[in-house]
Amino acid sequence: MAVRILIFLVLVTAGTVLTDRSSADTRLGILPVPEAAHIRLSDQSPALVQEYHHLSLGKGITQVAFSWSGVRLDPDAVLLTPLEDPESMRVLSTVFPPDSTHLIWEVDCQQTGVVPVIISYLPAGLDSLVTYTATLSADETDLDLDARLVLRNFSGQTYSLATVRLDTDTMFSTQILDRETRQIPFPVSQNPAVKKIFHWDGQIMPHDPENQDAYPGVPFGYRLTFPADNSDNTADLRAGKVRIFLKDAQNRTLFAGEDTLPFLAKEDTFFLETGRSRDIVITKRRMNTDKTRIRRTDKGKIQVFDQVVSDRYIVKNTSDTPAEIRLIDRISGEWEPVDMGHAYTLEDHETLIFDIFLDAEETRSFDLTYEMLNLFADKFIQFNKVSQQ
Amino acid sequence: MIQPFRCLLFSSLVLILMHSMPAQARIDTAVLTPTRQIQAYIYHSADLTLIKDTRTIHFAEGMNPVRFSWSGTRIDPTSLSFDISDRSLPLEITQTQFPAREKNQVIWHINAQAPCRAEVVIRYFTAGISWQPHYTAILSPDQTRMQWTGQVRITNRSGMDYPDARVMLVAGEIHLLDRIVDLADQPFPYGRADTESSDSDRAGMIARGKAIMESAPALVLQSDTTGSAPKNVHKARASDYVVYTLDREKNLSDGGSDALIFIRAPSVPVNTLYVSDTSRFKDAVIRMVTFTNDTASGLGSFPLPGGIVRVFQAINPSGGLVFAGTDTTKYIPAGSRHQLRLGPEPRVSVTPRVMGYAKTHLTFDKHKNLSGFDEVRTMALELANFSGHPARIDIFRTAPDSHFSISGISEQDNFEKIDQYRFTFSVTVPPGTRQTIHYTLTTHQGDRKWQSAS
Repeated sequence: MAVRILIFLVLVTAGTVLTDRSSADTRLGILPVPEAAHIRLSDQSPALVQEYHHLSLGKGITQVAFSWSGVRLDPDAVLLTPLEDPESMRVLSTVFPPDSTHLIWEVDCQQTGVVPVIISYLPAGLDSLVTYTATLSADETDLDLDARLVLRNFSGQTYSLATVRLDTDTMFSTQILDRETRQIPFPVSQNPAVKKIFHWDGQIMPHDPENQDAYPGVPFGYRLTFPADNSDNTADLRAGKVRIFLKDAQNRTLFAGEDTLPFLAKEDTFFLETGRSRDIVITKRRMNTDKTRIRRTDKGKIQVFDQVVSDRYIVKNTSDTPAEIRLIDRISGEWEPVDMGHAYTLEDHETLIFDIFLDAEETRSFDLTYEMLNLFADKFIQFNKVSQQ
Repeated sequence: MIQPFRCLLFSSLVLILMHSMPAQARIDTAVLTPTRQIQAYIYHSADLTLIKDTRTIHFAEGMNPVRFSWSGTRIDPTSLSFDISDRSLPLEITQTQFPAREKNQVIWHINAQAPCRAEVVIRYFTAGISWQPHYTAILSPDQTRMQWTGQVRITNRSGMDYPDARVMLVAGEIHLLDRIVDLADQPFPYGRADTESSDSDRAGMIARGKAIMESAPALVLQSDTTGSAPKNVHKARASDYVVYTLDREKNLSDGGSDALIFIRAPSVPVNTLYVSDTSRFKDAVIRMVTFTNDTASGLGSFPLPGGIVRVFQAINPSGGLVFAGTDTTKYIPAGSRHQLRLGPEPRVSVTPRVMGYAKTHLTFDKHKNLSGFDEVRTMALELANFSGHPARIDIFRTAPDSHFSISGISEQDNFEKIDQYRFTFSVTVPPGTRQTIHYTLTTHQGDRKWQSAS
């Protein structure tokens, strides 16, 4: 299938094209060769293509046709703009003939001459991804991040020599054919700080893992913190897949896992999960539930009560290296602490975060005793949990 | 069936240096570069193998397009990387190109500021190679020791021969976003810009990948030796993974099967244990063998990967054996105690009996309607051991809810409350004897659940 995007100056009787669109016409056009093509990539698809042309225009009204074949693009998003003097040329109208594969601009030029212009359009099938390769040091404290832009062209159009702009600072030149994919390295301004953690969430993890036939293990990975002292305002990490490799003590490189990195800017942190460890075993047991302050109707029907709950956490590190564990659990509704056996921070009214450091082969156990207040037994029981307003 | 497959691979898996730009070229001038070394990191938890292919290439000054192509195998093209071992060489990888209309091919554009010779490592993921550990345990006649042997079987269904490979077996649960076999079967390396959300395409791709996987011939690791002596396997930790490195290079190709021994411990102390837990095993009493994965047991200081364990019982010193059972172990962390579940043991029994029953503390509301009461059961757990050995029996019981209490326990020292629902007794019963545990279980019903807290 012939695939092309062409622009040409239409040297025909203007009235033929503009007034009788369904009738045949003849055209003689000068095909300007684009002097440059820029592919501008944003975080969101699609890519914007900008072609730089010099059009030889006579004084007065001239028609400039833009046609495409085998390329899908939005005709309403095709723009013709003068590059230098905005008054040198004005687009008076755009005509969309019925075949939907070309359009004609009617332009008014102040004087005869060559006018540099930019034609911008959004071809479907041309976009980019970002992928990362992260290499961790053997002690898992340093991370070296390599970024690659993956440019995918399934637009139907070949770009023989295009300048690809990732952002204001990052650009490169490349050729990319139709149905071709290219991968180009680009710099990461500064490597993020990294810390290995194990991440146990009581909402999704089993509470009695040792009695499970298939225990998946505690997720572990690396908390990335993008440097706050980076003076470069454009310094950020685009979203993309990260493959993490680890240098071991023998200086071999091992694949350690992969995850998706979201967009990160200065001071952002993100937990990059790479695997699951069965060397960390966390057991949660409900040891006691006592109902207190029971309030009843005159007929003795229970309406409101409080409940004192004791939960026991047994955190075991069976490996020969220390472990930093972030344990997250939730107490829903109205509650207050009674005897909390471990320091915690509250992420919100119900989410408790415990940062636990265990030495190699250490087991630690602690109890949390708390009182759940004003639990409704009969009516309004939906208010025993806090809804998001 | 396998032979032509291998030949095809041999001819297509070459690294080519070309004199001219490759776009649409049909005639290439190429320098074939032989592999110097293959390293294969085979993962246990996923269908994933990391291959490192080391070669030496001569670069001319200027731009050197280096092409790598493959067919009949399952390489994830998004994982392909080209690393120059000596970073001080005047070489720069400017782009990686997946050419249009050329499937299973990548071109690296290497700019050389001066002619040089470089060692390069081609790194990629492939699917279809796996390893599976399995164990054999032989219990001593007195059931106090066992001989523990761990073997590993490597299976190559990747469609590709890897001769003389350094093989590393990686244990640990790895986090993956995509299956490698799916990435390998994509028509375009990173998908199409405008069609990647098509679920039907993806489902079709997975089905095709599965069909290829199931139809491919199984190639099994060919051992260099036929003797039964254990190979030397070096173990090392890397983060939360354990890497087992085979002591010599292996042909990952078709051929006979030879399971490699990666651990052997001649005399691991064990305890035999019988477990009664109606919530898990109904009325059966299950025979367990417990051991500790540690240096004192002769098992070393590394975790053991999960696998099938076949347990045999030695019945005399002259090698007589009986089959005792089979179990599939989970991952066994270093230093941890593990139980092998061998199945029901009819010679050991636990029979719970309700010896007495009473309703007490009946409560009534204002209208004299019954609103609650306590059920008091006098319980007897009758234990019997006719196994021929002393039997430690662990009995687990689970209450229907948390409103209960236990009193009058005859084996108080052997009682433990696990949580608000569960409690356990642990008793050793001599061979050929019976024993009874007594206790009183009080469960609160109706309003009594609340009154006890008022």
